[in-house]
This record gives sequence, C-alpha cells and structure tokens, in this order.
Amino acid sequence: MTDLTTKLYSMDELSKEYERLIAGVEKPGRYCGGEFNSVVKDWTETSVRVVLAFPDIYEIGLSHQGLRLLYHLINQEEDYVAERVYAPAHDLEEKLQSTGLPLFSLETRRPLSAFDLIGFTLQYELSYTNILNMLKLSGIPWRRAERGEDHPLVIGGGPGSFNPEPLADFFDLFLLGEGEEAVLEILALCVEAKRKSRTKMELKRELMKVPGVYLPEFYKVVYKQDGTVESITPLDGAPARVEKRVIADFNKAFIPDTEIVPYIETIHDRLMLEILRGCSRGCRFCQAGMLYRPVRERDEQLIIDSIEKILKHTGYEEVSLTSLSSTDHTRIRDLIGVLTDCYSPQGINISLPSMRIDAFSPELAESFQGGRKASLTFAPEAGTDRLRRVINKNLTHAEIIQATRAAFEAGWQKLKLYFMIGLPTETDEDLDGIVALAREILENGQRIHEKRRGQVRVTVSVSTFVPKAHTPFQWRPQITVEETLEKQERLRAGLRGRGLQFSWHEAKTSQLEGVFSRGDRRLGRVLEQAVALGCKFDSWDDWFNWEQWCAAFQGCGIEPEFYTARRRFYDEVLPWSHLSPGLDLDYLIAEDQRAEKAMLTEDCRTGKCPGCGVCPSLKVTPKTAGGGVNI
Amino acid sequence: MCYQISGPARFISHLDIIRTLGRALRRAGLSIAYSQGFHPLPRLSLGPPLPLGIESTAEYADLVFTEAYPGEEIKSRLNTSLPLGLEVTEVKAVKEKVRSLTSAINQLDYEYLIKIPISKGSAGDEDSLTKCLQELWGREELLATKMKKGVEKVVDIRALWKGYHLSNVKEGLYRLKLEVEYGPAGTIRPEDLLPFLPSACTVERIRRVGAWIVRGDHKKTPLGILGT
Ligand code: SF4
Repeated sequence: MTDLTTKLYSMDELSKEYERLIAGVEKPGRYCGGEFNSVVKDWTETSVRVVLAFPDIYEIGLSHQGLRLLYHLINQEEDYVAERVYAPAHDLEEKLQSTGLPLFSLETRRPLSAFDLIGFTLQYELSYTNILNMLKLSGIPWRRAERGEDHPLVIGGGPGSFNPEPLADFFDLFLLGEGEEAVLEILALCVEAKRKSRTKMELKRELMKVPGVYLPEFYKVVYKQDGTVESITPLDGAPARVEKRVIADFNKAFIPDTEIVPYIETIHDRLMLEILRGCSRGCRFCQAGMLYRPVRERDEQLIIDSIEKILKHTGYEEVSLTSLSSTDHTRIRDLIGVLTDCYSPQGINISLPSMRIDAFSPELAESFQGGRKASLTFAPEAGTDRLRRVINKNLTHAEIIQATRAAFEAGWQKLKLYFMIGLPTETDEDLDGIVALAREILENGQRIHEKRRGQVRVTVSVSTFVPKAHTPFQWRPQITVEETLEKQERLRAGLRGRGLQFSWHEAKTSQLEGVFSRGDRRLGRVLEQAVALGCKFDSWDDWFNWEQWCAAFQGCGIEPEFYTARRRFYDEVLPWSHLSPGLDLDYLIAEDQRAEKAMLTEDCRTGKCPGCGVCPSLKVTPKTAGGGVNI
Repeated sequence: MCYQISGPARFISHLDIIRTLGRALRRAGLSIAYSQGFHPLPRLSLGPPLPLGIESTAEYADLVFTEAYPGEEIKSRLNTSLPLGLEVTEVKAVKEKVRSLTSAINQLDYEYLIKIPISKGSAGDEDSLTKCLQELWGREELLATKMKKGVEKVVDIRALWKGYHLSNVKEGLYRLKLEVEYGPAGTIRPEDLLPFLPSACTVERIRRVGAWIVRGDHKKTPLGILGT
C-alpha cells in the first residue's frame, strides 16, 4: 500500500497536482467535478461529511438513481456534506499510484480519508474488487480491524447488503432496505457522537439500535466441518435478525427537486423519476422483486409536479419513468398521455426503462423512441410456457407471438429477445424452445415485411441464471461453466442463419457472480487476494481475469463450486439467515416447491395475498395510485 | 453570441457543449427554435471545435429563438443557467440569416503561456525561444504528424501559419500568440506546434483567444461583422 503520510500537501497544492493529473487522462470530464447542480459546501460550517462512492466508472455511477437521491437528501441538510467519488479508470489509477496521491472526491478534491463516512453502493457483486481497490487508492486499510478511530466509517447499502457476508470484514455497517429515512438517522447519531466525543465503538452501539442497520462485527459465525454455517450468534445485544427499512408512505418519501447535470455523456443521461417502488409479480428468480416489496405507487399528480420542478432545474431533454416494472403503474397510460402532451412540443421525450410484453403497445413504444423505430427489446425469459410457469412469469407463447407481430406490423424490423439459461428444471426442450420461438418470430417478421425481408433481424440474448439470496431459488444449484458452455453451444447451433443473431454472457463471469451472491465471510480473503493479484472491473469483459481469480481461490483453499454448484437444504443455516427483507421462509420454500410443479402464484395486487410475509412483518400495505390493476 | 470556456468546462467535447448549451437554454426558459422532424433538436450551431483541455475566450455560437429577446437579456438569463466554466460575454440579436460560423471564420488565435527555467548566466535559454520561432517562421515547410481517423499522417502546416507575437510576461515566463488559418485547407491545432519548441520550455497553458473573419484587409470578429 502506498504510504500517503510521507507526502503532505496543502489543500491548494493538492488541488494543483490533481488538476495536472486530470488533464492527462483519457476522459478528464469524469473527474473534474463542477457539474451543474453539484453541491460544494464549506466544510467549516458543517459537522458530518460523507463521500458517496460508486465502485464503477463515472458514466455508470452518476446514472445511479439511489446515489443521486442520497446526494441531495444529505446535502439538503445544512449540517451535512455529501460529496462523490467513482472508481478511477485504469489511466488515472496508474497516475495516482505513481505519484502517491490518494483518490479524491469530485467536489472538493479531498482524499477519502478526510471524510467521516464512506458510503458504498452495492449494486452488483462484480464490483466488489473495485471497492477494495478504491480503499487501497485512498490509503485506508481494507480490514475494519486495522482501521483506527480516525479512519472513516465504511458503510454499504443497496441490494448487496442483503447478503454482504463476503464484505463483512471490510465494512463497519450495512444498511438494509430503503435509505431515505435511515440515512438521516445514522447521520444524526454521527453528529451526536462527534459532539460528545464518542469512540467508534460507542457510536456503533448507538447505531445498532437503528432499525435496518447491520453491524457485521457483532455477529459470530461458526462453520461446520463441511463448510456450511453452523450458527450465527449475535453479540452484545445485537438483534438476532436485522430487518430491512421500508418507506410506508411512498408519496411522502423524499424526491430531490434537482439532479446533477453532467458535462460528459453518461449511460442514463436523463431525468429519472421513480414512479413506483417494489414489484409483486413474484418472478421467482428476481431478487429485486423479492427485496423491495410491497408495491407502492406514487400519485399521478406528485409525479407530474416533480417532473416539472426537476426539468426546470436541469433542462433535460428526456424523462424516464423508472421502477422495476413501470407499465404496472395503475395510472401509467394517463400519466404518459399527460406528460407527452405537455412536453413533446418542447422536444422532451418521455420513456420507460423497459416494457413488459403483455403491456406492449406500438403507440407507446413509438412515442418512447421519439418516432424512430430503433430495435425493440422483449424479455420472454424462458423458451417454453412450462419453464415460464416455473419462474412464475405469467406470459404465454401466444402473447409473445402477438406482441412481436404487432411490433413488426407497426414497422419495427429489429427485435431483441432476452432469455436466461440454467433456470431450475430446464431441459434441452426448453433451450430448443428458445430457438423455435426466435425462428417463429423471425418468420412472422419476414412475412410482414415481405419486401424488406433481408432487413428483419431477431437477436437472441442470453444470460446465465444466477440464484440469489432471499429468492425462492436461493437453495438451487447454479449451472457450471461447462454446462453453460454446452447450453450456449446448443443455442448457437440452432440460431445459425440469416436474420438471426445470438449474444451471450461470459460463462465464467456468471460463476464469479454466483459465488459472491450466495457467499459467506470466508470469501473476504479471496477478495483480498484477487485484488492483490490485480483483479478489478470484473464486470468488464476486457478486465475480467478468471485465471487470477482461480489463483486467489486456490490460495485460500476455497472451491468456488461449493457456493454455486451445491443444492442447499431448506433447514441449512444460510450465511444471510440473520438478514431479512421481511419474507417468510415458508413462503420462499412453498414458492420453490410450486416452481418444481410449474405452478403459477398470483400477484398480490389482485387483492389475493399469497402471504410473502412482508406486509405483516414490516407493518406496511401495498398501495396503488387508484387505477385498475393490470395483470 | 460569444462565450468563454474555462476550468472544468474545458474538458467538455464539442458535442457535449452543444448538449450542455441546449440544457442551459431550457433552464433559462429561453424559447429556442427547434428543427423540424420527429426528433427536434434546438437550432444552435457552434464555431470551430475547440480541442479538449484548452480554454477559450473566443467561442462563438449562433442561436435561433422563437421570441425576440434583447441581447442583454439572453446574456444574463443564460449566464445564471450555465455550469461552471461557461460564460456568455456578448450577445448580438439580429433579424437576418447569417452565414454559418464554421464557414465564415477563417482565422483562429491561440495564446501559449510558456515557462523557461532561468539558470544563472545562461540567458541563452530565453533567447532560444525567440530564435527558435524566428527559425520556424523562416522555414518553407513545417511537417507535423496528425492523427486522422486513427492513422498517422504527416502534413505541412507552414502555409496555415499566419503570424505570431512573443512577449515577456515576467522573468522566465513568455506569452506567445499564434495566428493560424481555419478553413477548407485545414488548420493548425495548438498541440501541433509543441514538438518544435525548445525542450527547456514548458507550456503552462494554452488558450484560444480569437476567432476572426478576414476579408482582404478587413478583420472582424463574428459579432463585429454583424450590422455592417
Ligand atoms: S404480504 Fe401479501 S400483500 Fe404484502 S407484499 Fe407480500 S404477497 Fe403482497
């Protein structure tokens, strides 16, 4: 680790040094800060300073809605500062290392060690190496045990905190669930701790009382001979089970009235307004659907007013109505109608992040694409009706054919179909189902576009199913690399021919994701070794280095297959058993068993509650904005 | 309209500047005209692209509004909506159509701030810059290597070099003003000159300081030419 203490710079000198570094890298716009609506505060007038860290590059990180929200939520309070940092790309990292300068925040170019808290968002497992790397570039010890009183508290949030065990040795605390209220409660305790000169340990004991806060050091994990967990014991009065935070009244939740407008283009360079939270369709593979229940829709008028305000402050030319499944909003059609009428004369486009096949309408899709007919994406997820019932995706072959036909008839020529391979109970028949479905759709397209047959294109994009914690499939084995390659080969062979295209995910990347998504604390060592061997940006194909990872696993005497290829038992103590999104174990087991029988389970928005447990255990109820439920 | 680029904004590419200005106009509530078609774009066009990382006091843009605002109003409203490093310095409102900036502008001026370490008793270092420029100016051919679509190409930039002026700011610090042609025959990018400077020099800063429309003996800025 670079020793940063040997070089002491004044803030001014540092700033100049950084200026020089930034000017010499590929995309200086990633690091220069100063974007419109970014907030720069005078530190002497505040008491707690947070740096929000996204463990991937700027273009991805700035697009993340959760961090955008927290940034403004925290900065809205006079007493707090929130700044930002993203993972530096390779070129800046090299320069930081060669100069010995620490990684810095965008707003005031302070090293991360100058902050009271570092808040990492845990969006995907393959960003974990970047977290350690960012700490390393900041001169902050990875391991919590090696950090002292003066080091910042390292905090994690986002879906990864529902099984953060591979990171348990590095973080001080994780926040489970929604952050709008809890983050302010945490910060208030930090202010108090500072005022009363509390030690870190004293502060942690206070933080322990905040619902949703998980402090990994207060849990002792004992393993059995076979490597499974024997017990997880809370220490010093820590709660036996940490339950997630959930905003009961989503209409009252914080909505920033502004957004940072970047200088350079980011992946989601537009206004994103969350129109509903949660999803109750109950797809059995989907972790987000399980973690963010119940469904809560925002009122139409609130959405319209917020968009108006944010547009005024940002000048964005596109508005995306986001959520896990935006066409589920009961008032979606009216909402889009009102917004389009109001904004399209001003050249502002309204869009949705995705559209369900059964809610597809050519008119809507056309308005989203601003009249162009670019490629359209549909997600049948599986190749046969049976397998779709296994995953509780209530979508039939006939519906898929109907929607794709409608798309061709409305003028689209290029469709993209998204599937998963390796789903529980999958057989060759299901894979062949993908091929047959793609071919049928292609033929329909060619028939409809008779005169331009050659331009009709169907792209089949497959990812490998990775079972995730807190889903009905959390006990299921993941397919191996070999199986993945075989299945991909079968599809590739079937999808040869004019008009068909096939794209797939790197099999080994999915294995690594699988290890960490259902991993335990012993993986912390593997992560450290991997980072030491140079692993980073694992979700980027050109950086991913499986050989180094294998070396790291071997070096720690850990077999990755233990985490991926093993069928777990229902009564096994899972590494995340003490962390709860509010779901009943019985519900998850029942859902897994219904999957085996290819039985559908209803969506609770119909009024029939299949009893996932969230509402009674967290004392919340699903809420719609008053329109008819569209199942 | 004339505007400046400094600080973080110098890292914005040409395309990103267009988007940034478009958003600032919306924030300012100024009703810019839109192009026809299903995907309307604001009618705003810029002068010659500024190389990334270089500041400028002489950037020009043409904007078409649907309402007749006084120039001062556009300037003040836009300036409150622009991000750090972008500032409008002058706006001239005209009714008639104007020639596109990229075809009208044919000269660009750059200013280099050059540092030369002064070692005692060797005034030679300071002289070397003056001499070097004289020598370069006297040459018939100046071959610079440029990247064009990923391939290296050697081009003669001498013909595009219109003039220069070197002045002393303080001990060891010089200001070099370079006048270059801009047009169908090409242009000199400020970094093209760097390999020719004496190795003892360090270039502290480069700025674009002028964009001109030269017709015979007349030399006017794009705003200066309006209304004449
Ligand atoms: S408890 Fe019932 S109503 Fe509440 S989210 Fe779960 S399934 Fe839906």
